[in-house]
Amino acid sequence: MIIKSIKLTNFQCYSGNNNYFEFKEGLNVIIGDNSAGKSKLYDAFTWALFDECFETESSKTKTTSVFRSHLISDKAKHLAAIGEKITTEVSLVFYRKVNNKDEEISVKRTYSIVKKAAMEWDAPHHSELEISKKDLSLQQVTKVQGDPKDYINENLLPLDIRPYTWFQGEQVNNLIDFENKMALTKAINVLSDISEYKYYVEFATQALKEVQNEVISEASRAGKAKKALDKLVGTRQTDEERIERLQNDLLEAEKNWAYAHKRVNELLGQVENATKISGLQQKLSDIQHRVTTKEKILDTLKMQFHKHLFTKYWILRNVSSLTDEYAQKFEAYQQTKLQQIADKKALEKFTTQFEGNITQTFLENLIQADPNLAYFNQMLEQEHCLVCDRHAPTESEPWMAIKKMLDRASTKTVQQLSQPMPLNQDFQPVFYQLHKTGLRLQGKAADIDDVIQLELSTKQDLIEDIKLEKIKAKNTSDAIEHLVSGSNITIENSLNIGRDYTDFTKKLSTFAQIKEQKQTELKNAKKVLEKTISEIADITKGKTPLFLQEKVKLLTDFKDITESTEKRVFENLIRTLEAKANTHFLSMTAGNQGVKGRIQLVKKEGYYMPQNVDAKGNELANINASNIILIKMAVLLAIISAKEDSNATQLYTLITDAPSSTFGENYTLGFCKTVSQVYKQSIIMSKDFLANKILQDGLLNSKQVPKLGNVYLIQPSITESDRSDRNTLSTNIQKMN
Amino acid sequence: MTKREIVLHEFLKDPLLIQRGYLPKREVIDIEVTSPYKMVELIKTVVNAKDKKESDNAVRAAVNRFLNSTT
Repeated sequence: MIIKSIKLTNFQCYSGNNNYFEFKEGLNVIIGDNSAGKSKLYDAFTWALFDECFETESSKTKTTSVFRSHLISDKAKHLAAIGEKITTEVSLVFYRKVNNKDEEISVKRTYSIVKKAAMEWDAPHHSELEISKKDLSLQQVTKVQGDPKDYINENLLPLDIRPYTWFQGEQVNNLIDFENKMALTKAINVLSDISEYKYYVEFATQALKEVQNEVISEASRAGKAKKALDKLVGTRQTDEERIERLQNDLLEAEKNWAYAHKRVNELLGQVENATKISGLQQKLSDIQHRVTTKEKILDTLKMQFHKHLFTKYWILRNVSSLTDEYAQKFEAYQQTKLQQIADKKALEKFTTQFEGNITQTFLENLIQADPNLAYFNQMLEQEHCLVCDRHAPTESEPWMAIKKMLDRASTKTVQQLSQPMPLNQDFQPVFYQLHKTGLRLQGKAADIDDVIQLELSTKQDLIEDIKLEKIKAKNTSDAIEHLVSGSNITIENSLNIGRDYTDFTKKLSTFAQIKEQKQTELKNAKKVLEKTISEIADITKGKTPLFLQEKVKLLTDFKDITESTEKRVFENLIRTLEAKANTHFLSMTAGNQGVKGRIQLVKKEGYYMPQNVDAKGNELANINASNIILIKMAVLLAIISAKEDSNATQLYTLITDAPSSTFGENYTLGFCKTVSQVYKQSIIMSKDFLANKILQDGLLNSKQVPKLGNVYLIQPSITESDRSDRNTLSTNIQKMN
Repeated sequence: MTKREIVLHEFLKDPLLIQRGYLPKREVIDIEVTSPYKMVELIKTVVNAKDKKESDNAVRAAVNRFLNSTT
């Protein structure tokens, strides 16, 4: 069976009804960048068949009832008029040959909403599914009756096979989970006929038990140790119930332990980065706290500085000039005062000196009058004193006296001399005190520039400090961003990871103890049951008819043979799987030096797990993530392909979205080659061929892929970075070969 | 080979058949022909009944009939 085509109408980013992909046998590839619509195409497949789409937020698949109007193209919703019905539809056409008849099976899922207002929809919770069959020779179409889910499960893709044939790249890790010892066994059980053999084991066990009961009944009927037998049968019943309970407990403990082990290992890979992130986050928080504190201090400092400027510095700076001025004026005042005292003394002396010749009144009149200096000059020129009317020859004592008076009069008027400053109140001590204080303030005022400078430099240092802290914060923030983007750990859950790691480590230890305890209890309970059975056998031995004894012997051996056969078949299957897995592993990794070792399926605690081993069978340590995923992918392909007669690879199409997202594009072509060899048909969505022209050439031109089907390029009408909204978004589909 | 044939061959390959004396060494068994070996016939009875998609009770009844007729 192959998928012939898929048609999408108004499904998510596939706006309109012109979105059609046709597929052939072999490898079909859908090439598209991130957000081009690859995952939405994968969703279209799962929605059509199983009413499920992937929800990014929860990383889980959800049904129509969750997505509702979001299933429909935003462009279609935007263009619709109020009251208009908008429908999305995905049609898948399968082709198969049944009894030499060519047949097409169409699966069509539709979902409609009605536009009530601009962003308001009448959106029901359920979609409609219709399946029809078309006989190609008769061109006769018949609608498939009954539950479509059952039809899909029985004819198109069984639910238990689905996880191994339709998957997204990121799911591979969980499909073959190295931490879950049941994972490989479960996959083998699903995809092989091993469950058939398990049926015979269970059947033989039950048949043996029934014949043992027959033996007991026979012995009881014969009255042989009836009481003891009845008691032992009761004990056996209790023992069996206890074993069943313990088996369930052990299974539960093993599940818990496996989950805790898985979480510890998952967290172990994250805890280092999470610790770094939470450490850096703490550092960032400390820096931010310091910045806030320092900014507050800076604000206070600024305010204080301004206050000081007004209250101290500027005043002191003014005082400096004032005190200078005051000092000058005080000096002048002092000089004036001393001069006045000197003048007074000189006047007194002068008065005394001329008292004999000139009357005091005349002198006073002379001085008090505004003397005309011309008289003095005249007296000097004429060498005659007009005051005393005597001859005064040049350079003589009277002449010098006149000259002196003339000189004095030229600098100060006689009036000034005769009218000294009023000194009724003596301010001099106060002025002196003020002067002294001014001098002291001047000392401080002289330092004020240094004080201001110091305060300014403290402020500047703080600003620089804050700048540095902010740079540190930016670097820390960048480091966090780098770690977050590289590790898929959010800042919020980085703290939880550390806490979870501690919790799960504790749980792991607890579950290991419980597991061990349950194993011991189960072992002991089995011994008790064996003893009870042995006691029953002892009592009934030789007391039951031969035919019954023969039946018991035959069925005991039959049970042993079924168990031994099941074990042998399983182990053969494991070895076949191992060989197939290695073939696929080599095929996928051909030409890559980075891949080491081979795959060995190793039995641990009764279960098989894949391991990467060297040529001597020693487990390789520190294998990289790509290697692990490739091993898982190889095992996955092997599980499906190992049992060739099961036809799984012929019946079902492998559909995978971004398979290389977890192992890298170095292996993309190898994976495609391998898949095209294993599966009759495969559909792969990948971005690797878009930018990498060597890969694209390898796919399209070099015939490296043995069976190449159709290759399509999908491109959004508006790139993600240019999308302000999705109201005009559609997807362009271009066939490349 | 059909699933029935595969399963029967797997059972008949089991070494316990020889170890416990149900089959002589190197005996080639034709699964379509009745053999003289009880265990071989018991296995065939169970596998054939299962192959016919009979119910568990029907398979048990077939085994009982076989056991009652041979023991």
